[in-house]
Amino acid sequence: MQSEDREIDVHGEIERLVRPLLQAFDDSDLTRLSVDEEEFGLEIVRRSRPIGAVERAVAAEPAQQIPAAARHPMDVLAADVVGIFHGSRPEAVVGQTVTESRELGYVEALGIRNPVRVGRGGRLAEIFVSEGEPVDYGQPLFGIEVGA
Amino acid sequence: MKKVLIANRGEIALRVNRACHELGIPTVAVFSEADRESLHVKRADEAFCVGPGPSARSYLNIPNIISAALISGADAIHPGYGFLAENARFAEICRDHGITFIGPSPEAIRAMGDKATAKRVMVDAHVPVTPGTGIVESIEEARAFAQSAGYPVLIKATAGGGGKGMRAVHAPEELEQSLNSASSEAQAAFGDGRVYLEKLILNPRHIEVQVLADAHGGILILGERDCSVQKPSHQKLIEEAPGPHLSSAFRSSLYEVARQAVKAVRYVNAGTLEFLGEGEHFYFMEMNTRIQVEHPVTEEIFDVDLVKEQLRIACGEPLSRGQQDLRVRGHAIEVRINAEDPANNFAPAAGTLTTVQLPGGPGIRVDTHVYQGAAVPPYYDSMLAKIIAHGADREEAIARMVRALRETTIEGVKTTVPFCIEILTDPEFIAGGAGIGYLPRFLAREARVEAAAAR
Repeated sequence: MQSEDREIDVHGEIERLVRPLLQAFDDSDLTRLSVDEEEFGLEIVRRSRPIGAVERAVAAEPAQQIPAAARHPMDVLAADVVGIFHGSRPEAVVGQTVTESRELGYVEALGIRNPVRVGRGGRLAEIFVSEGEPVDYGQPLFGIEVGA
Repeated sequence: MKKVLIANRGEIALRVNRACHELGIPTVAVFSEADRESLHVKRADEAFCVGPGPSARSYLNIPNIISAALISGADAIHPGYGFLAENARFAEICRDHGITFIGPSPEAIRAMGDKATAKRVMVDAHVPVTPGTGIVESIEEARAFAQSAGYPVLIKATAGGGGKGMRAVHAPEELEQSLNSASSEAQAAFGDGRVYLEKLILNPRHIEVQVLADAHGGILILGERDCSVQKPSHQKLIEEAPGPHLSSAFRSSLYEVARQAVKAVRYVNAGTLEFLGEGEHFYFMEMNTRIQVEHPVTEEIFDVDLVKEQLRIACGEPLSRGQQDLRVRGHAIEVRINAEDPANNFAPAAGTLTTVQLPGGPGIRVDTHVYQGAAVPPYYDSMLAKIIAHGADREEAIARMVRALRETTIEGVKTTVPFCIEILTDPEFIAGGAGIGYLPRFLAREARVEAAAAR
């Protein structure tokens, strides 16, 4: 499904702003892309892409409100197959700390379970999907504040 | 048929979407991340992103496309043209998942997709073919054939298409090098470096026959199209129906052969048999087992909807009319508006379309997916629109096309619009029946005029 009708929140906004950049980056040969504007900071680093590949973005809060040291980069775990999303048991909840390579759920496609795993550990800040929801390529599933 | 997934993009995805909606069938679009804002996504009832921009990871991503069909409850897939349209394996996978592939059987796709096999099948069905070899195993074999058939000869890739792996050889000393370069080009493009040789017929016409066949043995021969105006890369630029200046003897013989061929392949659904025409003779080149880009010119002169017929045939219904019900009305011409620069060897262009003003009025049909502000991604073919002009006769069709092209403004990328106006007003094109050598000749003539002007 096309990703739409999601609640408008700060992370949703980041996702909207960042996606075109991620696309351009993904289609390029670059391994690192850094944007440093007054109200917007972003760094994308290419790594090998496992299922549920991790894309890393830095939050866009004005610098004077949140000191740079308190900023946590946001990893968005996105689906890279078209299928049906299922959460893992025990169910992950927003606010909990999740560790590297923990399976948060899987996308079932053509009878195959494609696990969605945490890249870098942190605080589970967002769950963008619900149980049994059809998801398409690139659809955000989870947001993780790395190191939080 | 409850719901159709359209496994394509651009104008053909919209064309299929229209046919489905007219028949009351809901549609599912698939798209790449580069096509998120495309019209085919907006017009469909549902849409799934199946991968990033490059088509190998999106429009050719069979698992994601099949998964989208299963999740959405689509029980049929229309492949359009290009991408997976002539992929026998894909048609098989659809069948394995209980999804109707709107096209011929995997067996027919496979038989016609391998050009050497296709030729053998046609020879067995008494369809005339150009003298040629099987797959060339050695340079000696190639030399022997070229010697006996006489130069020039044409090297072709058995998996080929779009001019890839194709070389004309005019003299014995060029043969070995051309053979090697054609083979490596084919290997790179198709993963299959096998090539064969044919006698090169100088300045033939590209004449193709549109066929429809249902699962009950019904066959319709929907006349011919002349697609001789081709770029140096052998890609078609202007197509018309009927073919100008063909004798009735030529036509009846051509249609009879096409009918034999369809029966021989036990073909079901829409297909096109391509021939080289030279004088009163024609030779089978290949069969395309899909709907073609230039199908609208046939639709216009027969007042038939080929895509709807495809859907009906795939449902197991018989053809909606008989051969005796078909009457040719007037003449139709199609021009492909591509985002490319004719002055720079038709180099494709990507960018954003800042202005899009498309023509209309009597006898003009425009099949397109573009709109003002739309992006032209770099990943896909450069076709922006097809303009089809229909008139009471060829003269009126040409006049309408020229008028329509002059009404057309597309800015932001270079297009073939001005170039096509030059062709449509060129006396040699207006005379009709110029062969595939026409466009290269036209380009050489223009280059000479420019060189003279520069002096």
